[in-house]
Amino acid sequence: MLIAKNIKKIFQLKERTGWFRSKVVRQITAVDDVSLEMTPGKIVGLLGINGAGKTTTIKMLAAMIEPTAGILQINGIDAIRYPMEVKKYLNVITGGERNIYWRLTAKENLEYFAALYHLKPSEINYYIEKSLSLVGLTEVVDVPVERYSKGMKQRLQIARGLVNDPMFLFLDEPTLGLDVVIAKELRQHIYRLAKNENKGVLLTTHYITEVEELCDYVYVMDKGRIIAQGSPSEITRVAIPEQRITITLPSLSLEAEEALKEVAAASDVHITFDHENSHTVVHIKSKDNLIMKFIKIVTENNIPVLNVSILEPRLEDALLQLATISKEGGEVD
Amino acid sequence: MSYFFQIIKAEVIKQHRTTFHSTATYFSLLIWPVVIFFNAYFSYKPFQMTKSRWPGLETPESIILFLIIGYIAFLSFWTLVQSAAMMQVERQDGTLETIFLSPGNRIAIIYGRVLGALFENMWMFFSFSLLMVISIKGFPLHNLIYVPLCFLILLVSAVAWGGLMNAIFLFSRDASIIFSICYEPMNLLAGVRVPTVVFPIWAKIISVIFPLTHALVLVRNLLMKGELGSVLPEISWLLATIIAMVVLTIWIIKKAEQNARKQGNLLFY
Amino acid sequence: MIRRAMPWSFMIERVLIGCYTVLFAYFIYNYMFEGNIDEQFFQFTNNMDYLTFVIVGASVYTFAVSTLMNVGRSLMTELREGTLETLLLSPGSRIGYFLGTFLEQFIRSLSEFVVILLFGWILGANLTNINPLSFIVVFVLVMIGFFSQGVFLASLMLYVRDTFIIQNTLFFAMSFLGGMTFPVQYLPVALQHVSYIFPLTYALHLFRSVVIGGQSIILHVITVFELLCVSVTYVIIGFVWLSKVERKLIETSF
Repeated sequence: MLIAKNIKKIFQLKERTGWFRSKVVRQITAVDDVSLEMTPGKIVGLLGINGAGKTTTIKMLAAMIEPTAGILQINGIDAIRYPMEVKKYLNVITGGERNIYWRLTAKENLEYFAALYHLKPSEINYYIEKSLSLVGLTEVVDVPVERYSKGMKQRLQIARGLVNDPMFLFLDEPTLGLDVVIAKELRQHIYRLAKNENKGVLLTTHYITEVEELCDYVYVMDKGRIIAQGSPSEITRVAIPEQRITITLPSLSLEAEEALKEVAAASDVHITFDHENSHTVVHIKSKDNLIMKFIKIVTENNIPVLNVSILEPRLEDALLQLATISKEGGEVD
Repeated sequence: MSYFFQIIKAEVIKQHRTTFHSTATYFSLLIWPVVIFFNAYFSYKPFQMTKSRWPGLETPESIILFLIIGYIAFLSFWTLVQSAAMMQVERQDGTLETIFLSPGNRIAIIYGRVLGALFENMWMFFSFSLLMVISIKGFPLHNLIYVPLCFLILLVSAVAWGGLMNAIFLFSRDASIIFSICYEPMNLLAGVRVPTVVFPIWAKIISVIFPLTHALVLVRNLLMKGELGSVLPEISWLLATIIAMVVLTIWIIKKAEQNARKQGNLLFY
Repeated sequence: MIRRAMPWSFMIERVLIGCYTVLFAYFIYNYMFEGNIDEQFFQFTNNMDYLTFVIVGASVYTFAVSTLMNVGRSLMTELREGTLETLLLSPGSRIGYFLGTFLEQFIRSLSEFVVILLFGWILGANLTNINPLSFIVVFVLVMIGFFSQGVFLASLMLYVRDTFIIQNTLFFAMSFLGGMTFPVQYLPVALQHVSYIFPLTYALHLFRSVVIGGQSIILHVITVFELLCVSVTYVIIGFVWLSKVERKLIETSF
């Protein structure tokens, strides 16, 4: 298990004042009081706008950066005091084409990185074969990476991230810049890694469909803090508790309109009316499912219903809402 | 221990495979050094050889041997400085970050890089040097026995030096002052073209700073004069400088990683 | 070799290289051989003092390298900055362009030359016999030689699309074959012939004989003629190549 409690990271911006001398001009709190957990077999999402502190958080969890404060334990080991002990359990996969040697082939890249993780020669061959097969690069194993497409490089990144069979895997925008087919394949890989290979996965992404498709639990960050957490549906419910209902009617009498407004007022429902030439559209925002009450009033007034649509709140809207609240200095319950 | 050597082997293989054998490589690692060597040789022509203050340098053959040894050693040291500066490329490519993400032994990684770079950079000039030495027929054959020892001396001192250079470039994004110190001053004051024994006191004092100086004195005395006994003081000097370089390298690497963990600045961007 | 790409850092580097060349000569002359020069050297150089010989060599060589780097790399710099097309498609005078680049850097190159000469003078070079008039005449001839070679180099670099290999190979060849630290007569005959393709060889001969040695330039009119022939050849080849590049550029642009 990976447990992070109240981790904080303050960077000091220094300015050179002379040869071998510098002074601290500013302190930046990139991550402030973040607590999260990862368990094998689960996929955790870490979301937030650019600059929220996601990459810094990942680097701390991957034992690359030392937290300024807080506790980080990986399988019971204090990862802050003993980072080299925990590195064998971890790996990071980033989006893009960096972090691999373009002049080497896929096999040569993996052989090199496997050696850095102290794998025995027999283990190296096994894991290289397994990871290349998993990402579908077995046929180009001896081709220099500089001749790969972007998607192939990204898949090699995943193979590199798996070379030490890590217990915890951090994916920092892994599908960035990939076409829809490759991205879909990659998401399937990621799902299999967690569910079939029992790895703990932490994923950052700006693609909300990825989060909805993959994540069991989500942390939302803004300005270095976690502003919301829960399953994707829980977060959506908390951020946007209301349903949005649209009822299209051929016309609406004054009495019917007043009756609808009364029900709305009594139930703390927000209702608006769009009177067009040929029809009227009723927009309702409601926490409770009161659609039947509204339909009853309409039918009691002998008004036929042309169309009813119910819009479930989306995670994307919820995240926007959270970002707005955070920007305005409010707090999310 | 086996992990240590496993990583060194991996780094050597990686260096070999990533070294790009372009036209520029053949020029900078063979053609230009050969021209520089002959330039140094002909610079001796205006002088009366018999009046040389270093008794070993009285014939054209001895000058060639003297300069060949000087340039093999100097180029080994110099090309390792250039290879160390390539750390910047790894920083920009993100591969340095990937290396530090792993638990791989940092010292093994650095010395593996150095060994790989040394073999890749020097094999061409070394081959030329062998040809020159064979062709001059002026090599004292009874000193052949010292060749393996001299090879070891140059190898160990160059690797220790290369490790220190890599550590410095790891720590600092901008260590270009190293180039200013390492080429011309070292070329002149480490005894590459003129033996340090004839230097004035002030130049001798400066020459002591360069590890290359001690390696050259040792190797030249062994290969050109065959005097093992007289080089014992130099052996101590060289050992001391090698140990100092290794200790400094290990310390800098530890500090560099500690600093990187605090500042988060392994990435160039 | 890797270097930072700033003009002033190139200047400092060239001056340092020149000074270290002079220092090497000083060391070998004073500490290694205690001033014992071979008779042939005096024959080849008309009894010139060794240190003065090398110091003149180093300073003129540095002036050559500075001029060649600035004029020679001009077109490749335009290419890298994206302004080459505009330049070559304009009706402006090409010789005017090159003269402009030469004049722009002339003071910097001259200062590098003077600094090394001064350093050498401190170390013991005999520069007391310099005749100002002969200095100016020879310097003008030398400038013509290096300028012409710079034009040729600019076109060659653009044609081949390389600066690194060409410039460094040229500079190493010049320092070896141009007579910078030893008379070219010490070289094997075949290499002596090669040395005469460099304006530096003639420049050093004239500097040492006329400017330092105090000889009349009339005595070296053949050397002057050879230098001018080489210069004209470089300019012609340079412009022929440049016109080829221009034609290709026009074809690919339109």
